[in-house]
Amino acid sequence: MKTFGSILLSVLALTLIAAVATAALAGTNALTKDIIAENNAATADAARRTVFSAAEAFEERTLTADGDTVTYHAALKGGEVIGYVFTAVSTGKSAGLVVMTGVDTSGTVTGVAVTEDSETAGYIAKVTDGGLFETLKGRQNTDGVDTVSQATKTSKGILKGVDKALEYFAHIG
Amino acid sequence: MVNPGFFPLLIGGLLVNNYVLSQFLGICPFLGVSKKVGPAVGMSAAVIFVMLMATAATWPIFHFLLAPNDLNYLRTIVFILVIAALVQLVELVLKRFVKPLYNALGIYLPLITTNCAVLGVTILNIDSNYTFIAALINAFASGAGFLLAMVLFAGVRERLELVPVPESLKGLPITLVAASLVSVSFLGFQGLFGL
Amino acid sequence: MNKYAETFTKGLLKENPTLRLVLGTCPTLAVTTTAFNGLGMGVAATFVLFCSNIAISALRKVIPSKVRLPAYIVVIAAFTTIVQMLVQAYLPAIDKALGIFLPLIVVNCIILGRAEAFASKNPVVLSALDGLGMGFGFTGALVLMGGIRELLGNGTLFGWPEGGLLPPISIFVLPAGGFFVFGMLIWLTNRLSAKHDPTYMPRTELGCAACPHAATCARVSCEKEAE
Repeated sequence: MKTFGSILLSVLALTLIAAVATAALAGTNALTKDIIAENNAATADAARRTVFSAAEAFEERTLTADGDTVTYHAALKGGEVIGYVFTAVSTGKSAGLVVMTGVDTSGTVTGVAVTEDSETAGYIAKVTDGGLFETLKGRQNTDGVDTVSQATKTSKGILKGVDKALEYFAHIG
Repeated sequence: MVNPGFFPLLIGGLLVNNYVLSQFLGICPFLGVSKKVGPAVGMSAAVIFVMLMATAATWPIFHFLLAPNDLNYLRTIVFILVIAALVQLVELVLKRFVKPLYNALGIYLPLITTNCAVLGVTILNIDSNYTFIAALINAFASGAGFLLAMVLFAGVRERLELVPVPESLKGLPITLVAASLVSVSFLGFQGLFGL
Repeated sequence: MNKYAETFTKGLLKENPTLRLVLGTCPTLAVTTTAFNGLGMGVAATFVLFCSNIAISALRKVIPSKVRLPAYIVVIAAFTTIVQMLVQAYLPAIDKALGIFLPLIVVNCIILGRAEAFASKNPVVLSALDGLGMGFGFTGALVLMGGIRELLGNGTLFGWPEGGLLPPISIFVLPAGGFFVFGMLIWLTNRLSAKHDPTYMPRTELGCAACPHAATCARVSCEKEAE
């Protein structure tokens, strides 16, 4: 009986600790959940604003290109659509290079940014220093844009992402 | 849900995103149990085994129990307990029914409960939004990458025992410098097959 | 020195968890690409260590010894998740930089090690001081290592100045640089300690003694040595 009692006690103690821990977590979760969701939305909007600074708000939309459903955002100002922000997954030196491109209604690039990457550390900085993002602004295609030396593959990946965005734009018409 | 396919996952886990040498997961056993090739292989085999089992257990728990009930915040606590219980259970079952396997892997099993590579692979499988199959492949590939790093490094350390090393660098410092050089060689795999 | 001051200060230098006990190597190597990331990781781990030490010390007479490890793990996992949620809510940049290593604080052997070696045997106030001291020692080592890697690898310190002080040597922010800088720091610690205290035994192995699995680990090494 003694061993049974001590096992029961152990199980009881562990269950109690687990219950208290779960309650504490549920409490913290309730407190922080909304703030985290707000943060994520704010971060995403802020990122979109870096490639489309004229926009006041963004609205999520979808389009179908070559059988795939693509989610993009319409840039709004005073309730009117003044452009679009596309996110395309490309491959630079490594896979998973996420390129965000802002395109206004005339098909001109308003800005380009990399939101996620697994490139070798420092390569994105090289591309930025090399002025690739500035060069792309105001263009309607990527023909003849020079890659940044020492980060050729990363640059090419970014150009591919922009090409994809312009292709999506063509689907909207 | 995504499944990048068998080959990209395998090459990714084995070479490009090697858990030990480029993600820094499982450094303790990497530095602690890599003195000889024999134990290094045993430890890694146990890690592969537990990684597969842990993924097979935690993936359904997360996607069928936690996520539908909006309990994502219990993930860490549930996963670590599941892994701890699983390791105990595996040890018991092996001891009772598969004696040869227990003799080979048994002593390494308790070490694995708090191995961050095992918890790491289960969390990364969820974060990467892998399908069940992809998660299992990824677990295997990550474990195999651990094995590769352990065996290569154990080989380096066996040689290191035989060379004259400055007194103050002996032991851990020279081991870490050697690990750094092995890591440099894995840097060369970056970008392989566009991964 | 009274025992309270001693308990607090031993974690800073004498028993520094990173440089002298060589514990918690995974986060030490992984997140120290910048001084700021090192600081973030250090503060997060210190918070978990401080809280879990207090909780475990307060419960030390209630937890049956048979289930003490699972009980400790539950307590530590709960505090880790709380920290993770707080960081996600108020410091999203840190969350992004630390990534998977934020939830992995739960398997950081410094925390389980202190729970087992100290908090389970000592009163609450002492355990709290021990947690703070160890946490600050860990944070200090991470900031030092992050600072060195950031300065050499990126030319900046805490992101300052904009253009960089030195021409960057990228290898230092890559994994290889992490192993190298850590090796050099351990070497330096051994040298300085030996000079300061002739009886000091230089650290040639991981600090497994503080880990709950030390016994098994030692058995593995011994049995295999004998073969």
